[in-house]
Amino acid sequence: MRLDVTDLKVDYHNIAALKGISFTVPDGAFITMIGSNGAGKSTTLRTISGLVKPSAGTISVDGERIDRAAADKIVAMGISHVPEGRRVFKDLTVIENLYLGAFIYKDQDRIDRDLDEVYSHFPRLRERSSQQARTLSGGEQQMLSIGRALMSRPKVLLLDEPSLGLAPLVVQEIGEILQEINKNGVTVILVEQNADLALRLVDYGYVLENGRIIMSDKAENLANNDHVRKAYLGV
Amino acid sequence: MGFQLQQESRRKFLKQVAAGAATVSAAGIIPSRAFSANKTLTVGMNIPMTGDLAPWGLPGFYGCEIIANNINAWGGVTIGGETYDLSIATYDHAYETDKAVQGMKKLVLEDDAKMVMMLGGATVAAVLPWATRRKVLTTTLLPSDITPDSEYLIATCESHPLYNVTGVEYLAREFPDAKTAVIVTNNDVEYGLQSTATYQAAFEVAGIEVVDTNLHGFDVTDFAPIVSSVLAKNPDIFCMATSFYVTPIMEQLYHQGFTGKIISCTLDYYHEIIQKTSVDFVNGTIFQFPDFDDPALLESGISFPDPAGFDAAFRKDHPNDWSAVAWEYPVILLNWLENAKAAGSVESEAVIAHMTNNKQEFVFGGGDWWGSQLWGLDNVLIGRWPVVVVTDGKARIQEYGDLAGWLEKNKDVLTKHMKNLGLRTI
Amino acid sequence: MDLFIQTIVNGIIQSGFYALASIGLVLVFGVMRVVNFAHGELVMVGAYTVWLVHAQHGAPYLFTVVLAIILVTGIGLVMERFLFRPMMNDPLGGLICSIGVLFILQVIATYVGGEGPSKQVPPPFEGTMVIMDSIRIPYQRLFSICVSAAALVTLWYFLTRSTLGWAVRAVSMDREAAALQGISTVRISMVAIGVGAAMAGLAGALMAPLTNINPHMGHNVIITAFIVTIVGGIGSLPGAVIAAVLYALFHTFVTTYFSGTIATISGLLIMVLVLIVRPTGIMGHRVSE
Repeated sequence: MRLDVTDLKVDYHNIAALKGISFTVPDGAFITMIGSNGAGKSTTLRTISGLVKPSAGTISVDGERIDRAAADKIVAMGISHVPEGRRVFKDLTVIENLYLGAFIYKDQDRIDRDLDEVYSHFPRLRERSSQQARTLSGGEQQMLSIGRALMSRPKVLLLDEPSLGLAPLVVQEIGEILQEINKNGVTVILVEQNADLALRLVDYGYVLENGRIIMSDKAENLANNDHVRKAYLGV
Repeated sequence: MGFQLQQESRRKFLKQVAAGAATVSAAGIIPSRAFSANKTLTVGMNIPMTGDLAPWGLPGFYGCEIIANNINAWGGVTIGGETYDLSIATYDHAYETDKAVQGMKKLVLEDDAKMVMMLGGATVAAVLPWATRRKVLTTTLLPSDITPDSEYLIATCESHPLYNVTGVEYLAREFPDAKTAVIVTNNDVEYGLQSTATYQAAFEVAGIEVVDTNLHGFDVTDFAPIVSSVLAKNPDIFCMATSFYVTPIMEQLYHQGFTGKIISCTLDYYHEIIQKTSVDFVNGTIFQFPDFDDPALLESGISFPDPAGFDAAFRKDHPNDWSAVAWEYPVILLNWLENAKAAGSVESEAVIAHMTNNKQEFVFGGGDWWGSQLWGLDNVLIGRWPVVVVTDGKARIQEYGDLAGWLEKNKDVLTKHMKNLGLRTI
Repeated sequence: MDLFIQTIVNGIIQSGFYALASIGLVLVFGVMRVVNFAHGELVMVGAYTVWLVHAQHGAPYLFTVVLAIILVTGIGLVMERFLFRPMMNDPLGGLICSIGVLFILQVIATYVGGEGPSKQVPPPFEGTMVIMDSIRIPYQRLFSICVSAAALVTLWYFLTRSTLGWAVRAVSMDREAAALQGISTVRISMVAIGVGAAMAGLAGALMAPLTNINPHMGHNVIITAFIVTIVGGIGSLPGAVIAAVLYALFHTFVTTYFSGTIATISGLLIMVLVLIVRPTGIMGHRVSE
C-alpha cells in the first residue's frame, strides 16, 4: 500500500507543529523518520492515523484521501498505529488486548490464525496470554502493543519510538521482528530517536527538524551524512 | 349581652358557610366573582406549596379555597358595615426562610393581605421581626413559635406538640399492659424534637418507660436498620413523634413483625400505608388527626360548619391530597373572620384585641388562651383535642382529650423534657 | 444475635440498590469522563414510571419495570447524542449540561405527578419470608435483591467476557489507544450511557415500591453513588460493586448500632479519607506514565 503525504500542516493551539511536509512511501517499503524531540515525528504519525486533524495538506493511501476520516475508520483502511508509550490496556489480559486489536473483524477463524501468527512472532505473549497487561515488563508491553496492531491486519504499520526505555537486547529482538513483518509485505514507518538503530533497519530515511523535512535519502547515505552523524548519531 | 349577640351572629355565619358548602357541592358550580359588586378582602397564605413540606401547606390552601368560595357564593362576608368577597392570596415559600420573608412582604404590601397564615417553624421565625414591626396578624400551626415578643403571632388551631399527650392518656387507659415504649422520629427542632419531648413527658406521666429514643436525620432512605435496632428492645409501644417518614417506618414495622401498639402524631395518607401493609396491621394505630366525615364531629361542642360536606367537597376536587392541615387553615380562617366581624374591623390590632379579650370557642370544644407558661405569651388557643384510632381501615375519633387539664397538672414534667432536649422554654 | 443477623440481611438488601444505582455513574464517567449529575434523576424517572403506569394505571409491575428500563435508557441516549457528544472535549460543559437535565427531569416529574406528598407504590409482592422465627425478609425486597444481583452478574459477564465489554473497558482506560484499534468511541459512549441508564432505570423501578417517590429523591441516590464511586475507585467497575456492598453493610450497621446521622457522616468522612490516603480508591490503580 502506497502512502502519499502532500504539504501537510498541523497546528497545536495555534503553534505550528508541522509546517508543510511532503513524502511518499512506496508499497512494501520500510522507512524511518528521525529527529529530535518536538521535531514533528510523532505528530506526523498521529495525523496519518487520524488522532490529529491537519490544518492543511492531504494524506492518501493508494490514491484515496484519508485525512478527514476518524481514527477508528482509518484502522479499517489498513493503517495501524503503535503509539508512543505502548498504551496497552493495562487492566485487560494479554489475549483480551490482542482480540481488541482485531475489533473490526468478526471472522473468528481468521482472527485465531492471526493470533497464532502474533504468538509465533512473540512467543512470550503466548506464555502470558491470561495475565493482566500491567504485570508485563516494558519490553513485553511493547511486544503486546505491536502484536495488537498486527491483529488489525495492517498494510501500513506506524511505530512511534518502540525502543524507548528498553534494554538493548530487547531492542535488538524487536528490530528483527519488524524486519520480518516488513518482509511479509507490510509497509512500515518507524519513528525513532534512536537513529542508530533505525538507520540499520530501514531502506530509506527522513530527517525532521522544526516541523519540516530537511533531508531524505537512503539509509546508508544518511548514516554517513555529517549533519546526521553529529546531531543524531553522537559521533 | 354583647357576648350573646356575638354567639348569635357567629352561629348564623357558620350556618351560611355550611349551607354554601352544601349548595356549591350539590350544584357543582361556583358563582363568578365578576358579577359581584363587593370589595375584596384578602387573606394571605405564606406556605410551602412545593417541596418536601408541601403536604402541610397545599391541602390547607385547597381547604381555604372551599371556604372562600362558599362565603362568596353566599354573598360575601360583612365586617364593619362593609361587605367583602373573600380572596385567598398565596405565596409558595417552599419552606425556605428567605423566600418566606419575601412572601410576607409580597402578601402584605402587594396583595394587601389583612392576615397571613403560615405553617410555622424556621419560616415563621424568619418573618417575625418584620411582621411584628409592621403589626401583621400572623398565624402558625406550631405554638412553639410563640416568643415573649411575638404579640401579633397567634396559634388558634393546631396545638402542636401539646395535643400528643391526649393520645398517650388514651393508650395508657385502654391498654394498661403496655409498659415500655420506643420513640423514632426525625431530629429537627421544630417538629420532631418538640413532639419527642411531649411524648416523653406524656409517657412519664402515664407510667410508661421509654426504653429507646432514635432520632434520625433527613437523609434516611432505608428504615430497616433503624426499625430493627429499636425493635431489639422489645417495646410494647412504638411511637412516631411528628415523623415525616410514617409510611416507610410503618412498612418496616409490618415486615419486621411488630405486634405491639403504634402511636403517632400524624398518620397522613394512611390509606397508602394500608396498601403497603394490611388493614389488620394498621387497625388500632392511635394518632391525632380526624377525617372530617367522622360522625363524632357532629357532636355538640364541635364548631366546624358541616364537616362532612367540607370533607366531601375537598375529596371531590382533590381525592388524594387530604392531610392533617386540610381543615386546620380553614379553622384559623373562620376564627379570624368571626373575630373581625365582632370587632367590626379587619385591621390586625383591632382583631387581635378582640380575640384576646373575649372568650374564644376552640374548634373541638373548650377554648383557653395558653402559652405564657412555656413560651412567654398567651397566644395559643387550646381546647379539647381528638384521639383518633384506625378502625376497620378508617380514622375514627375515640374521644376528645382534655388538653388543658393535663397541662394544668403536668406542665413541669413537660418543661423538664423540653429542657432536656435543648428546646426553648422561658 | 438475631439483631446482628437481621442487620446483615438488611445491609445485603441495601447493597443491591447501592451497586445498581452507582454503576451507571462509574460507567459513564469511565468511558466519557463526564460526571453525570442527572444520574440520580434517572433513578427517579424509573421510580416515577412504575408509579404512573403501574400504581396509577394498573399495568403489570414487571411490564413497567421493563418500560422504566427502556424509557430511562432512551433518556440516557438522548443526553449522549445532544449534550455529551457535542461537549466531548469539554468535561465541565458536560457536567453543567447534566445539571440542567437534572432540573428539567425534576420539573417534568413535578408536572406529571403534581406537588404534594411523596408517591407510594403498593408492593406487588406481598408478605414476608421468616427464617428461623427471627430473620425477616419481605418478598418485595427479596425480589429486588435477586433482580439486582442478576443484573450485576450479567453486566459483569458482559464486561469481562465479551469483546464489546472489553472495548468499553478499553475506552475507559485509554480513549486514543482504543480508537487506534478501530473502536468507535462514540459508539462505546452510547453503550456505556445506555447500560448505565438502564441500570439506573432498573434501580428506580425496583426501589419504587420500597421508598418515598418524589421529584427530589435523586439527591440521596447521587450522594450514595458519589461515596461508592470515590471509595471504590473512580472509573473502576469492580471497585464500585465492592464499595457498594461494603458501604451498604457499613451504613446499615452504624445506623443500627449508633444512628443514621453518624452513619452518613462517617460515610462522607471515609470518602474524604480515601481521597487523601488513596485517591485512586480501593480498587483503582495509580496512573503511571
